[in-house]
Parts: sequence; structure tokens; C-alpha cells
Amino acid sequence: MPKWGMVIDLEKCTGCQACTTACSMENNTVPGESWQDVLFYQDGEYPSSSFNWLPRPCMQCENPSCVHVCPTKATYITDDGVVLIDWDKCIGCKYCMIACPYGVRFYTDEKPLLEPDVKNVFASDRGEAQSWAPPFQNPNEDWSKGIGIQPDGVVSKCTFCYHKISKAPEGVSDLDPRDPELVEYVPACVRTCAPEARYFGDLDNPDSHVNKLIGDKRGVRLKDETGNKPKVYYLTGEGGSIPAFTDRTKSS
Amino acid sequence: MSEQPFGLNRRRFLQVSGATGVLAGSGLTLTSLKPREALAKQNPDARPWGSKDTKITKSICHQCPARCGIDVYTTNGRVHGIYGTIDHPISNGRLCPKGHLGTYLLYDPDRFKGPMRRTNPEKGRDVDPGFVPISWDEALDLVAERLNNLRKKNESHRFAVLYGRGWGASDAGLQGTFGQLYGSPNIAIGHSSICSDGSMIAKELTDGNQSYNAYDYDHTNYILNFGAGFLEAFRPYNNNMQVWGRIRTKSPKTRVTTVDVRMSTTMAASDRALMIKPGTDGAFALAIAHVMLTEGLWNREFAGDFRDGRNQFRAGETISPDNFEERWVKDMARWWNEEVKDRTPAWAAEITTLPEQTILEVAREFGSTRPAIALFERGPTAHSNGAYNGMAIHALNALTGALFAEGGLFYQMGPPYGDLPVNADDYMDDHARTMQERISTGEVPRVDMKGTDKWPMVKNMQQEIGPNSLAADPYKLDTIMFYLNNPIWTSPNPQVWEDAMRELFVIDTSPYPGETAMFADLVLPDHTYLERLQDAPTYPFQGFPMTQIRTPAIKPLHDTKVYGDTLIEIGKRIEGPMGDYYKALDNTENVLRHLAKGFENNPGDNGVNSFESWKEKGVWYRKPYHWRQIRGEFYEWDGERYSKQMSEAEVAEKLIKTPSGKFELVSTKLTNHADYINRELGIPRQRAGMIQWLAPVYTGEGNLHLVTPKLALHAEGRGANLPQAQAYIQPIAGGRGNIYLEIHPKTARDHGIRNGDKVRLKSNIGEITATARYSPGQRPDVLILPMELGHWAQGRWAKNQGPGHSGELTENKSDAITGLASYYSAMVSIERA
Amino acid sequence: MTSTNQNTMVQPGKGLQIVAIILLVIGIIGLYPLMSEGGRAFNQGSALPWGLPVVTYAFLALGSFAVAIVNMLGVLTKQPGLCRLVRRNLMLSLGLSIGAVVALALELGHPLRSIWAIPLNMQIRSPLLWMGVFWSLYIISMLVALVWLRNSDNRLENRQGLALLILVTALGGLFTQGLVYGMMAMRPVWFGSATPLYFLIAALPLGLALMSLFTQISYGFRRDAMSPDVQALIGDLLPKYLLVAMAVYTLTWIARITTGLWTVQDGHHVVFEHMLGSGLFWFEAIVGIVLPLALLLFVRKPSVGISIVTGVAIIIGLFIARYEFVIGGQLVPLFKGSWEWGLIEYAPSMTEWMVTLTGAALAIVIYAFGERLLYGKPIHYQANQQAQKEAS
Repeated sequence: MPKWGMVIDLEKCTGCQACTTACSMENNTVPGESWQDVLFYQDGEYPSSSFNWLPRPCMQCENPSCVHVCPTKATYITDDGVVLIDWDKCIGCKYCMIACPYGVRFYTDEKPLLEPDVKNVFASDRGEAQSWAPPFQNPNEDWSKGIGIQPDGVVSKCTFCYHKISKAPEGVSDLDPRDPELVEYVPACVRTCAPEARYFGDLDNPDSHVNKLIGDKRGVRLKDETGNKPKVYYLTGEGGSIPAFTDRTKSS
Repeated sequence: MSEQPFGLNRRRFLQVSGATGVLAGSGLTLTSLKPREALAKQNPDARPWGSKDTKITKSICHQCPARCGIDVYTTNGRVHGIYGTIDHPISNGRLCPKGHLGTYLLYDPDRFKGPMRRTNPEKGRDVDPGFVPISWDEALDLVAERLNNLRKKNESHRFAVLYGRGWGASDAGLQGTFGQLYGSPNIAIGHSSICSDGSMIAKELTDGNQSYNAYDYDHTNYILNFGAGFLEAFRPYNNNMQVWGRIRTKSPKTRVTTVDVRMSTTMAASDRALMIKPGTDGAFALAIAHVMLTEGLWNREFAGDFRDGRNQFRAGETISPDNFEERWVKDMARWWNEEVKDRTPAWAAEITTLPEQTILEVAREFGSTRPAIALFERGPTAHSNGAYNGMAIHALNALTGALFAEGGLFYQMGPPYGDLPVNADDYMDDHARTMQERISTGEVPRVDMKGTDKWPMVKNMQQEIGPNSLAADPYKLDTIMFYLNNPIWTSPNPQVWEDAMRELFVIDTSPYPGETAMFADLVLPDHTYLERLQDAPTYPFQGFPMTQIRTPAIKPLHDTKVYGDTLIEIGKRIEGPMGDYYKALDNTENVLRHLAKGFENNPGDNGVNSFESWKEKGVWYRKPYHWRQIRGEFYEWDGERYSKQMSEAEVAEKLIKTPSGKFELVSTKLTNHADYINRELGIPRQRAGMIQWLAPVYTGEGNLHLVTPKLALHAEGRGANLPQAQAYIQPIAGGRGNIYLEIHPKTARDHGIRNGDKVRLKSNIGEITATARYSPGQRPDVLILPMELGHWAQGRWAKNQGPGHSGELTENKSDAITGLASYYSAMVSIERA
Repeated sequence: MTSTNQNTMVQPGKGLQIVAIILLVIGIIGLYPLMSEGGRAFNQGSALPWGLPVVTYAFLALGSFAVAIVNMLGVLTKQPGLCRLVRRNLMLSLGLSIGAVVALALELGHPLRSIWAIPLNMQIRSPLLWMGVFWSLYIISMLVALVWLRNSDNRLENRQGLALLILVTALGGLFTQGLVYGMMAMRPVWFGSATPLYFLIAALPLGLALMSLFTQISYGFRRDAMSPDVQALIGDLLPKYLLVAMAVYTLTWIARITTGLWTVQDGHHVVFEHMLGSGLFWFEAIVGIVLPLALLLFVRKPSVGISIVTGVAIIIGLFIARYEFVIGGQLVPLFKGSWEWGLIEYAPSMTEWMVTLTGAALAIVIYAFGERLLYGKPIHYQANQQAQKEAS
């Protein structure tokens, strides 16, 4: 059983957000329900300003605080190390959203980011089984894993494209999107990343490319002090790091 | 909405509990325990990925000019996924953020469902056109009747076709013959003058190629980027990012210096971000040239050298032309003596506001790193001095010897298309021939006045068409048709276009209800791109010839017609031999089949040798590019390597196509237009051709530069109605369905503006509102407002979202030489709204 | 104390019943947007998942637990006034806890699913499971007590085990409430082992104030309608308890603010700075803390009016405190980049306020009608007066 992990090279990342849109279309998320967000941070002042960014999928922690707090075990960790949500069990208490240090969880029943609400424009004809019915929905659906069009009143999150990776051939060390044999099993964000800033592979396999990268380029995990032990590693290179929170509405 | 048969969410809980009492819900839990299998049965679409029902169709993305090959996933007649094609040279399996959103373009709920006729004669911004459906036959007959009548009245020139993103021979490529046969100089006029003619013409004036460049980024070690949104918009964007991932991790790492007027992702990702004063890039480039020459950092094999081998370029001192032996560069001594010798870093620092030391450092880095590319696009050229800015930057490519070199830049080869089944020349009637004569003698000018004394050197002047027709100078149009073009929104000062279009019979072919469609009398909606069969040769990419094809991933959802067929169908209805020509052409598929015949003797590297294999693979290409400059000598590909040395005449014919056959530091073409340049730009006649510093003339009234960048999620105006794009569009100013006006806090406070205030921007032609956001990283003398938003039509999500449209502040002024609209020269004032 | 006394004890008057019903009806009507639009009617969302409904839930729950704790301590120590009020205060606890549950149900995505999904899955690591366990036992034990007390001869003082069970489950529920927040290491405003204790300290004055307020309301704001035990409790003992509880709470409050303002921890200081910049905080400080403290300190024998003002001020103050605590802990955006430029902006929507109103009104309705439903027709306080006169 592999232990899937992701490596993101911040030196290569161009901040284009293709991962964001690829994910949103693959997983039929609504605008703003950004399972794979790119976060931008501006700092400094002209002429010496800096500008950083950081793509942020679910960290798929080994010791996920979200899983611990879920009262119904709706959110759980699979044998291959992916944190998923069972939409049949989720009661929508949102405690996991509170407990996630990385802000990667979304509630499926909230004020729309944009008006008119896509959920009304592409209204569901399946009652409330789906909160909306985009005409371009991914045919994969598995509520027990939080895959498919999300119903109302549950929490949704990045699944590492579990509908793809879970079907990958056994024993592969890395899901390399350049390999035509493997491309269909690669998570959408990794598959589309133009500068090839993302890598996806088996963290339990010492020969995997992801492990080599983590070793050679000193991969780091975000907020390691929380003890959640993410399986998403960042190669920071010259890419910088996450600044502490500053209230920029009050910036000079 | 109907009720769900299982499960109980809060809404249902409320409804139920409202009826049964607040706490009596426990008996209902049985309902929520109903198994999920019920749902699976209800949903016939629930099948695993890649089942036998999922079909992958090869197509090409439509959201920018890059032409990325895409795999379109269709299951049970529904498109649900778009990914890059893995064996396509541009996309290589990858996409940019826009590419994935194509399904929204297909399923846009605001699309026209079929041809429409206007019933409300009144036209205006918030006026309902009163569109009523009409059959294709009726619609096409209506157009043909107008066109036949114009011809009868000898006024065929009063029919104009304007186009934006033309794709290939099967759509925009058909228009030229249409104009020739019909007899109008205005079929078709492209949008290049509101796009990026500045760089094309700057290159024409210096190296004789009126084209964008192909670049060999993978082998370059330095990129000096002037105002190109390399990681946001510069084409081919997707491939640029792939390049970025490689060049920034190769050994040695390619160093990148970016010069721009705002902090952007490109700027931030570069090793150096130089925030230059708008419109002064030429001064910076000339100073780099100055340092390269004085410090002996130029490429002698390409540019030439002093006869005695000793560098005599000293600041402020002239050299004797006899002492310098030129190679592929012309007028080096004159350029130095009359321009560059005084263009010191200290001089440029004054103009550009960049520190002198930085200019010196960049010049030394650029000059001492090989191969090195100087790259530029609209940033420096969408100004009154755009041609000279562009030429000065391009001259750096001559000084560093990057032209046609490995790791340098060159031009794009075209595909070996087969001939069409019929030759237009055989189908010209008397009217067509007479018009051809009248056009060539200048009796009937183009409505945009291209090629007249008004705009003698331009490619197109689309931004002039609305105003010219309105002023009946040179004449009023009668009927105007648009293809992938929305000038009522995209033109500078689009307000004037509204008046102009009120008078004309407007035909729009867009599938979407854009601003221009709101002024249309007839809508002949095109297929969206995923429904089309259409070719698209590559934009300048890596030089080797390449052409792609879109194959429909799905049957057209609505009663639409691909534009090429619309044009052919109109043509069939024109009386006389023109109609016969189009009957022989028949349809676009026939056209494409004939084009593909050219592959039979030129099979692509991926085995494409026919129409069918082209459709199957989606792309025909054949590597490599055929020419290379190596250490000052030019070689042609012999099938295995670059071995055939070229003569100067061959180079002049095939590569450096200037009159002199050399890279011209004093342009022959400009010199030939010295009177015009003197009149329009005030440059002394004898200096007209010189690559030189010309101060920009800013337009409008106000104290702040308006910077209107194109962002990564900006799909050429068509992106405005994509809710996902709107949700994620603006990284730097942190949008979310809104775009903020970035303003330096100091500037804001000087104007009494608080963070988050609504502000009003005013120029001499209009005013718009926006929400201000403090952005200390930006120049204090600029305001940054991306151009994506501010639609008043185009669909439910586009309409009236976010700030106003920057175009409404932009005066219609263009660079006299290139004709490129000066989008970036507007000055505006700001106040709290 | 005789059984007669218990039988003649007054029940909440018509006024309270009418007001409670009106408020509940307004609340339920106001929830219409929630029915038609679902969560879109709320201003809470993915950036700030727990809004006013959760504040309401926490506030009502704490009130319920605190009333029960004081009530049961009174029973266990055989405090005469509290023993006399035991049914009514149990009803108050029950009402508040049901109001809390309903507020929570209105905020949960799938409230009914939770009824089977929580017990069937037994996620013992989640405080919400323990919340459910304590809460269920708490409500059941209270119901048992209330039903058992239908026999007017039955006295809870004589069933110490049951009283202890109620006390322990209330304390358990209260501490688990604190743990829900206190365990969140990623949210520094909440984090810490002292958070449950803070919840207890903040709950006690709330419970005492609620008890004082509702007792006086049900006696028609008339001390002379009360039996001497109750009079002594309301007029003398409760103010003293309240003074001590408020003093302890105020010290804790100051300590929290001092820590919050002093710390340099990322995401902690900014929240307290932001909080102190708001009018709401100063309203809380003056109306919710200084005013009641002053009244409790300086008015030795508070009149009905004064004790009502004191009680209401404390209740409002502690509601604001719950709001600041629950919302404050979520104000710092977690990994939102410049999508969130500053602290998360949140103001409850009208529908969210209606959840609060519904929860609170339901608590009062249960309180106002509960005894009548459980124990038969109420005896109007005038009848009681009559009885007292006759007795004297």
C-alpha cells in the first residue's frame, strides 16, 4: 500500500492558478470553494517590494487534527494515507474546519461568492441530492469519499483526486504526468502544472522521486509544529516562506 | 427544486420539524438512513473515469493565442474535462488556468441559441435589442440581399468585416478572398493595432520581419524582459511556464531581469524586478547598449568590430565610421555618434527613475551572459514612442548576437498547406476587378486609412474604424460584420463606437451576448470552440512549422454555425461568379481536407499525413527550424544538421529581410517616411530612421499613470462570464469576484483615500469607479486596474461586476509609426467616490 | 417546608408566556430565509465556520449547565431557597439546554443525521462525542428528576444520587464545551488547558443571573409573593454569590485580555487588539462588568428593579463575551493569503439573529409552560398571596 504524498517546488511555481482551476473543474467545486488554492502575499514597499505565493492543497496529514475532532468519523484517513470525507456521515458541524490548521476545508452551504449563484443557474434536478448540477460534471461520484457533486450541508475538501490515484497500477513509485500510461491516475493539479512544480508519489518508497526531492532539496512541511505531519512537502529554494499574519487593511 | 428522497439536511429538517413540532424529529431518522444505492440508480452518469463511454477528442484551446493542444473528455454527450494533450509541442499535457474553464464557455447559459434578428431599432447600452429567432436561411438571405444591393450601387467597400482572434485558413483565412471577390478593401481588418503591432513593426523596421518572434528559451542563459507578462499573459503562456520550470532549474540557471511598471508575478519571480516609469523602456535599452559598447560587451561576430580590435566607444566621444567594420548590423558608427554615445546610465536614470547603478549592473550582466535575449511586448510599445522603444530593445538582440542563434530568437515557419480546390482569381467579376483597381490606386482607401498619408506604415488601424465611419471620413460604412471581436468594449474610447454602430447594420457572429452583439441588427452565432472543426497554425513558437486542428468534442448544443461556413454560405448567395466560387468551396471541412493534402508529402514528426490523422493527433509539426546563426555565420538545415552556409543574399531573402539585408540601426523604411515622422513626431528628418530616445506623450488629464494589465485568468474578454475565473482572477490585489484598484498608500493618502474606499477615476474622456486597495509594492505614480472587468453585457456574471472598464478612460491615440493604440499612456486623476 | 408550600408555589405568569410565545413566533417566522435558501442566509461560511448560531448554542448551554450546577449544589447542600426552587430551576436548565440544542440543530448541516451518526461511530477522540454523551445523560437525568418530582411529596434532597448525576453531567458538559475550543492548538485565542475552567468561571455568574432574573419574573417581580426562603435567596444570598462569581470572572477576564494584548504569538495579539478597538468590547466592559459589579458591591439590599438590572446586564455582558470568544478565535484567516486582506470580516445576518431569538425564546417557552404541562394548572401568584394571608 503506497503512502501518497506531494512535493511542490516553490522555485518553479509561477502562481498561475492552473492547479486551482483544474481542481475546480475536475471536482466540480463552486467558485470560491478552492480545494487547491494559491495564496499570495505581498510585502515590502516600492521599489523593494516582494511578492510570494504558495499553492495550498489539503496537506493530507498523517496525524490530522480534523479527523480527531469529527464526531461521526465522517472524515477519515484511508490506508494509503488520504484524508477523505464521507458525505453520508457528515453532519455539517464544521468542527473539522475549525480544527484544520491549513484552512483547506469548505462548507457546501454558504453564501455564494458570486451572484448569480451558480447553484441556481445550474440548478439540480436531483433534488437536494446534489447542491447543483453543472452540465460538465465529472462522471465519477462516490459520496463515501467526498467525490462528486457535493450535497448541501456537508464539508468538502481536496481528495488528492482519490478517484484517480486509487486506481493507479500497484507498485508505482511516482505518478508522473509525463508518462502516458500513468497520466490518467495523476491528481488534476499535478497533471496540469505547467512549470512541473508538483510531484506526486509514494512516500513509503525510498526510491520514489518525491522522496529524492525531499531529500536533495530539503523539503519542508508547513506548520510542522502543530504535529499534524503533512504529506505535502514544499521545496522552498528561493521561493520564500509564509509570513506571519499581518492585518493588511491597516498596512501603511 | 424537488425534494430529495433520502437524507435530511437542515432545510429539510426545518420543513419537517415545522410541521411536526420542533423536537419531534427523532422518528425521521429512518428516512436519513436510506441507503445511497438509491441515488446511484438515479444517476446514470455515475461511471468510473475512462469507462468505455468516455471519449477523448483532440482540440485546441481558445482562451488565448497560444493554441495549446487539448484533450477534451466527453462522456454520454457531456464535456466534463479538458487537459493538455501530452504529445502536443506547446501544451505537452499541461494547461494554464484558463484552459480548464473551457467547459464553462461551452455551457455558458447566456449563449445565443441560434440566429437572431433585432426588432428594436433603438440601440444603446441598456436598451433591449428585442432579439427574435430567425432561421439560418432567412438570416443569410438577409445578409446576402444587403451585400448584393451594395454591389449594385457600387458601394461594396461600405461592407466591412472586422476580426479579432483569427485562427487559421478555415475561418479568418477565408476572409481575404471574400474581400477580393466581393470588392471591399475592408474585408477583413484585423485587430492587431489594438493588440501588439508595436513589437511586430519594431522588428520589421530593424530586421525586416513583420512578426512576433520565436524564442529558444531552453538554451538561453539570460532573459531581459521589457514589459511582457511572461508568467501571466505572454504567448504561448502555458509553454512559457513550462519553460520557466526548466530554465530556472537548469545549470546554469537562466537569469531573468524584468522591467515593468507594476509588481506582478512575472516581476516577483524574476531575479530582478525593475519598476520603470511608464513609456521609458527605450531609454533604459539605449543605456544598456551604451554600456555594452563602452565596456566591449557586444557580440563582435554578429555586430562587427573595430578594424584594429581596440574598443573606441567612449562615452560622449564619436568614432570614425571607417574604423568600425560592420557584420550583420548597419550604421553602427552613425548610431553611436548621433545617439548612443550620450545615452549613459546616468542619463537614463533621470528618465526611467531606475537607479544608475542598477542600470549599469543589468547592462553588464546582460552583456556578459550568452546567449541572452531581450524580450518585449506591449508594455514598452503601447505608447506614443512605442516604435522607437521597441527598436531600441530589439537592437540589444543584435548587440548580443541573439538573432537566429541557439538560445536566441528567430521567426516562425508556416505549414505546408495544400491548395484550395478553386482559385479566387478565376472567379472575379467586373465589379471585383474594378474595385481591385480602385483600391490599388488609392481611390477607395481602407476605412481605417491604412496605407494613406494618415497611417502610412501600419498593419491595421481597427481603432479608427468606428470614429472614421461616424465622421464619414473617408466614408460611412453601411454594413459591418464582426468575428471574435468586440470593439464596443475593447477599443480605446469605446464610447465613440456606440455612436458609430447606431448608424450601421451590424452583424455579430459571437456565440455570446457581448457589447457589440447588443448593438447588432443580426446575430449569426458561431459554434463555441469545443463544437468546431477549425485549423490553427501556430503563433510564433519555436520556429519549426506546426499547425493544429480543432475537432468537435460534441455536437453543437444549439442552432449555431461555424464562422467559416457562415462566410461561405453568405458567399454562395452573392450573385455572379463569387457565388460559384463558394459553391465550389462548399464548406470548411472541404477546405480543411484540401489544406491537409499538403501533409501527404510532408508527414509530420508524429506521423500526421492526412486529414484523418491530423484530426486524430490534433497537430501536425515538423522539427526543426531551418536556419541558425552560429558565430556570425548563417547556416541552413540540411536534414541532419545546420551545415549549408548561406550567402548574404540568401540571408537577406530568408532571414534579415530589410532593404539592406542587415539589422538596421537606422531604419531605411523610417527614413523613407521622414516627412511623415517629422510631421507627426517632431523628429528632425535626417534622424527619422535612427533608433533613438523619444519622450512619450501621455494622454488624458491627471497626475497618475493608469496601468491596465492583462492577468493570467483573462481569456481575451471571453473570460468575463466565467464564474470560476471571476472567483480567482486577481492574485495580487486579493479579489474574489472583485478587482481592486491598486494604489500606493502614500498616493492614496495624498488624495484622501482610505484602504477599501470607493474611488472615481477620471480622464479627459470619461470616468469610472473602483474600490481602492493599498498596495505599497507599486510605484506611487501609477494606478493599477486590470482590464478584465467592467462589462455592461457579455452574460450574467460579466455584467456590472467589479470596477469600471479601463478602456473608457483611454483616449484613442496611437503610435504614429506602428499604429498600436496607446493603451498604456493614459493619465488619470483619482478621488474618493 | 411542607408539601402545601410546594403545591401553592406560583408558576410563571401569563405575561411571560405571552411574551415568550410572541418571541418564538417571530423567531420561527424570521427563519424563513434559512428554509428557502439554506446556509446562504447565514453570513458565516468557510472563512468563519462558526457564527452567531454557535455563539447562541454556547451561551444557552453554559447558562443551562450553570443553573443546573448551582441548583444541584443547592440541593446537595440542602440550601432551603434553592431546594424550594428546584423544579423551576430544573425547568430553566431544561429550557435553556433545549434552546441550545435547537440553535445548534439550526446551524448543523444535517442535524438529524447526527442522532445516529454520532453514537454509531463512537469517535472517542472527538469532544463532540463526549458533548453528546454528557448532554444526553444531563437531559435524561433532569427529565427523570422532573417527572419524579410530579409527586409533590418527592424531594430531590432525598435523591442525592440523581442530583449528583445532574451535577456531574452538567459539569462534564460544561468542561467538554471548554475542551471543544481549548483543544484547538491552531487557534491560539482558544487554546489552552485553562479554557474549560474559564468556561466554568464565565458560566457561574450567567447561571446565577438567569436564576435570579427568571425567579423574579415568575413571581411577577414581587418579593412579597415569595416564601421567606426564596426571598432570602433572591434578596440576599444570590447577590452575594453573584458578587463573588463576578469578581472571579472579572479577574479572569482581565487576565485573558492582558495575556492577549501582551503576547506576540502569531494570530493572538491582533485579535485582542481588534477586540479592544470595537465598541462592543467597551459596551461589554461597562454594561456587562463594571455596572453589575458596582451594583452588587454598593447596593446592599438590592430591590427587585436593581437585581433585574444587574441580572440583565450580566446576561448581556456574558453573551457578548461568548460572541467575542467564539468569533474572535476564528478572526485570523488560516492560509487565506491575500484573499483575506485583514482579519475576517463577520457580522451576523438577520437570519442568524433569528436563530438566537428562536433558541432563547424556546428556552423561555419551555420554562414558562413546562411546569404547567408537567404539574398541571398553575396557581396564580395572587392565589398564593391569598393563601399566605390566610395562613398568617
